[in-house]
Amino acid sequence: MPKPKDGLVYCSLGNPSSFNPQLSTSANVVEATSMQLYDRLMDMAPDGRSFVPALATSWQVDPSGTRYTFHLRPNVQFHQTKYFTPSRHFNADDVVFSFRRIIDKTHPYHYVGRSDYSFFVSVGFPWMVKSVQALEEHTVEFELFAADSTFLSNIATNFSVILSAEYAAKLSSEGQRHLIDKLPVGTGPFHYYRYKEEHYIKYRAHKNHWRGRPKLNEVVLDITPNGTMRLAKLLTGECDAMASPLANELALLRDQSDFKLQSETSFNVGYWAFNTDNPPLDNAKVRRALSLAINRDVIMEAVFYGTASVASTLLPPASWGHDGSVAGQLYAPEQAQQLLAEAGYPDGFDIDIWVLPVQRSYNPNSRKMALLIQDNLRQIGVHAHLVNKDWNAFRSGLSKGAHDTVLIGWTADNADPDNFFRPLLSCQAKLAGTNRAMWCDKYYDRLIDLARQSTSFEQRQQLYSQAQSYLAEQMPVVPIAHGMRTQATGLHVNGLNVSPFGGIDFSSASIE
Amino acid sequence: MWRYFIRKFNLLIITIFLLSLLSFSLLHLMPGAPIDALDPDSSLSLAEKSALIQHYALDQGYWSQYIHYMGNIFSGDWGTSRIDQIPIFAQMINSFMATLQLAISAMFVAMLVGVPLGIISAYYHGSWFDRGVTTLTLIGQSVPVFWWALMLILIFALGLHWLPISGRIGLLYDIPEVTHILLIDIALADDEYQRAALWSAIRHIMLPTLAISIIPTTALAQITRASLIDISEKNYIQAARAKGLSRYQVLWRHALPNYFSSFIRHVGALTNPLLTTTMVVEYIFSWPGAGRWLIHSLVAQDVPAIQACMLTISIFVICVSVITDLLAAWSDPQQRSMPHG
Amino acid sequence: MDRNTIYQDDAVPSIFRQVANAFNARGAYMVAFWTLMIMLVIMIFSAVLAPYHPHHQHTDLLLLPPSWADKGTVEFFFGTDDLGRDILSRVISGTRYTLGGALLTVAISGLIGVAIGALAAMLRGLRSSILHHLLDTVLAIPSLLLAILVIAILGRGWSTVLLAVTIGLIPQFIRVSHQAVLEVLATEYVRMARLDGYSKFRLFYRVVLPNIAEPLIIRFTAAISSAIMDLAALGFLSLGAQAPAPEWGSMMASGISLLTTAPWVITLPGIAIFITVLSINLVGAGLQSSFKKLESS
Repeated sequence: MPKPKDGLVYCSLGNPSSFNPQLSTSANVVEATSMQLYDRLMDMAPDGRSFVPALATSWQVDPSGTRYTFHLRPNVQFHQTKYFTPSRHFNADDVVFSFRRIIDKTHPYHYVGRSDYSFFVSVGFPWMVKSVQALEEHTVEFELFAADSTFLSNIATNFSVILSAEYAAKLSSEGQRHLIDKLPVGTGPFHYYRYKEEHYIKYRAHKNHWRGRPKLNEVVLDITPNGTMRLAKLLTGECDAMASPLANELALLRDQSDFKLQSETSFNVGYWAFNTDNPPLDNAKVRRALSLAINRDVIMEAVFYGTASVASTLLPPASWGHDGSVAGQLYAPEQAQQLLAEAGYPDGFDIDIWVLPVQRSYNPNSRKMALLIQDNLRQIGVHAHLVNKDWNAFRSGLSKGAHDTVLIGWTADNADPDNFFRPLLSCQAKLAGTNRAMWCDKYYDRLIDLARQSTSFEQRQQLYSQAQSYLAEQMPVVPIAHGMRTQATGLHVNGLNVSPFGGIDFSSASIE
Repeated sequence: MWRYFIRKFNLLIITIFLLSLLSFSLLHLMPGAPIDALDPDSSLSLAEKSALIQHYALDQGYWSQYIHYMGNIFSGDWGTSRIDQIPIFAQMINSFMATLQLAISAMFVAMLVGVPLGIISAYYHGSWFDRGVTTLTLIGQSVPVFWWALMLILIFALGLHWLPISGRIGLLYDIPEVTHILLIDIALADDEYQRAALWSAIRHIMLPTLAISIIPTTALAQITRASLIDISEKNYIQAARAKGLSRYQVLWRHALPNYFSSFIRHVGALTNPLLTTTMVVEYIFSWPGAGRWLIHSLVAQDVPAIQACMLTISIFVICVSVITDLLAAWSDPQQRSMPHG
Repeated sequence: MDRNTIYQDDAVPSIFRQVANAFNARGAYMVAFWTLMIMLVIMIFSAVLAPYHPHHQHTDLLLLPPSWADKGTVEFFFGTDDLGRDILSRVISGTRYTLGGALLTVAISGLIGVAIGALAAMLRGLRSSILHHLLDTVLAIPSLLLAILVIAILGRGWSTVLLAVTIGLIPQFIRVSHQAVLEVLATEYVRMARLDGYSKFRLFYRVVLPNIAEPLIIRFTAAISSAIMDLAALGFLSLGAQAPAPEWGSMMASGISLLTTAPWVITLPGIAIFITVLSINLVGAGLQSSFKKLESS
């Protein structure tokens, strides 16, 4: 069957809610846009600790640790698309525009897209960066309020992409500002071509990409939320590669000789979050009791089919901040019942469990997990009701705290432990609407603030240990599993690798 | 004939009026105020809300709201989708054409297979073939179509890797949507891969067609068989037989023409179950049609899209029913003027 | 009230007797009839018959194949699903939802539909054209679409779906009973009964009702099978019964992700739907042909 052009079809997990990863922490957005349409000032090296130059060729920090200077790459071209023709190359204005949009509330684009920049707010970025200035055409300076060990990691995440200031100016003059996140323009290896909700996204190669022209002429993301359907499409050749094959289908894929299966331990965690604003979940004893009631071994078997490791804390064991001494949660229903009785609920209560409507490597089947937990909870007298919502309603409901408990998770964008602790459980994250536990604890926040300001590796490690022990005691969320990221590709696809930090990069992929 | 025509036309107008009323009132039947139904996440800004209120004239009385709504419908301004901000009218045409393509191809298969089966089994009434067809139709009518569709996927996609299971055409083909009828669009497309695109489109429609056609095929076989047997028991056929015509001659010269005048009506009556089946199958095969769109809109609480789907699908059904009635009535006098053997 | 015997009382039971005799004559119909009876018994006693509680998760026995497969055991005759729930128990308990729900919706919609249809036909004063237009409007909306509209308004859930399917079935009943009553009213024997001084109610009850039984019974059987299909389809689209309810359609929906590894999870509820609908359709076909035989005799 002849295939037109050098194109690759990738079966992806879901709809992106926007084409700008600055706006959303959703994995769908990151996967669909970040590495394809955009570039960052610098990228995270595969080892997760160092950085490699991207749009910035080099950078320095002054002795006080508050001034970062980036030297930008010359002759980088923006996308030429049906809706925009750039007249100049990438320069410092674009960097200033991209970051001011996030941190400056008076910026004309700040409220376009109606986003609260949840990633940046949750890591405290607007309170970290004092100003962004263009010093020369290819030099940018970031001034921070205080020294911060996480700044560079945040600049290197998939969210910190560089937009075109010229395109923004053009849209402003046309009164069409809202298009900036719908019809995107970036410097990335591919440019936007077409998008159909619930169906596909089509990208075409950016021929003048500064790393050289990508080998593929076209990349199509075939949006297929159902895992079995993704597999079927891979087998029938509708897709050349697929995201996250279902764990129970891995064996079947291994039997097929014309496909290869890749997997990678990933910086993620699937957890069960309690809305600590709602009684009785505001009581740490109740939260610990619920945690003791669930049988993790069965979940590992039934939901993950052994493709994940049990999570003892929020941090995956591969992270340098992981504290191995924090014991994993036990399965002890009697003890749970006793704790409930101590907390004043000997007869149990009713709660709801919001079910993640999409498949993620940290939770490939949230509904199944919820049913298992529902059954576990019944044994300690707690009646759980499952709540199913579509993705948009699910997210907006969670941000408002309409849930009691929710099964959800997080994939880190960089290897810094701060990237787990801050976006998930800090007071800032509660404001940003990414704190699913609605938890705001002064002591915890102080721990992670101190850890961030510190430049001593050992001190940071120690502070994160304390944070993990404190979380095990308070239990605002029950860590459940660290899933593997898997991907299956046809043998004719080369150079398409799984990244441990979410997202997928097609720029070096090719088709035989 | 003219009186009949006017009566049917009247019926059509009144029914469409009632359907539009129903579609209009859907917004008001939703729990909460209409503006909340349009914005269930309350994610809109004040300016956008007031634009919506303007668009639906929500600040006015029910009747002027309805008149406003109808004005919008006729001017092709069906609102914009809450999810992706695409004009609903454009999306409706696109999806409905996709639905139609699938439904028609399933109906085509049904006529090609179901009618001959019915004729043969009526001709050999009582034979093993007839019993076989009767059994098959009973089984076909009892199979849940979504189960059948999944079995097709299991066999042809997961097992044999033969046929694609989603969409209308391979995603790497870039066919501009001019007429929204895929075959014509492919023919119009100036693409070096035109033939490959056509082949891809045909392969994509095979499994969903196969899944849907089980319903109309068995229904047509059953109806054809029953009608022919019924007709052959009528007096004039008996008379023809008495005059010495063979069974074969009676079938071709009397029973079949007689049956085909009512055939249109049967096909019309199948529209409704056909579309129902198509909606479910679209969902399974990710066919970008109206049924799949409706189910997605329902989950996403996109009221304007639900209204549009409801209005379009039901107006289509009523139009088909009226047209087939008219065609059947038009062919009736002809039939009467035919010599009865 | 005196009983003048222009109209024969004993004709009514004998019709049913004859139908039953004609029905008896075909083996397939009888098999279908008894299958259906067994289904009904299973439905009524599902709580007792199911070997396990349909929600009970045998967490150490996940995805056990059916007993006839190599790895299956007789304790879990149809195997278990991915949560270790016994599929046989779920299919048995599912009769309450899918079959029971269908019977309930058909009974309610039939009652309402026949009452409206017959009343409209009996009361000449009511403008039947209004009814016709309303009916045409509602009948123009495919039943699944109508159900989806109701779900859009009332939200997802089992009771909503029951209501939606009930509403979807009513117009058909109105149409059939309306037509049938009009036909019967035009017959000679009704005129006789009228002349006989029957009141409208008595006329309906004693003369009309027995004579519209045939189309109604056929309509009822068709309605039950279409109700089962609609309920299961809505369950399959996850608009109807919500997890963990063992509704057959939603059981199949949750089995999609097991299509390759454990096809029995999706196949067995499918077969349950198939057998139920098939036997209902067969009984319907049998009744139809029996009635026909009766007329021609």
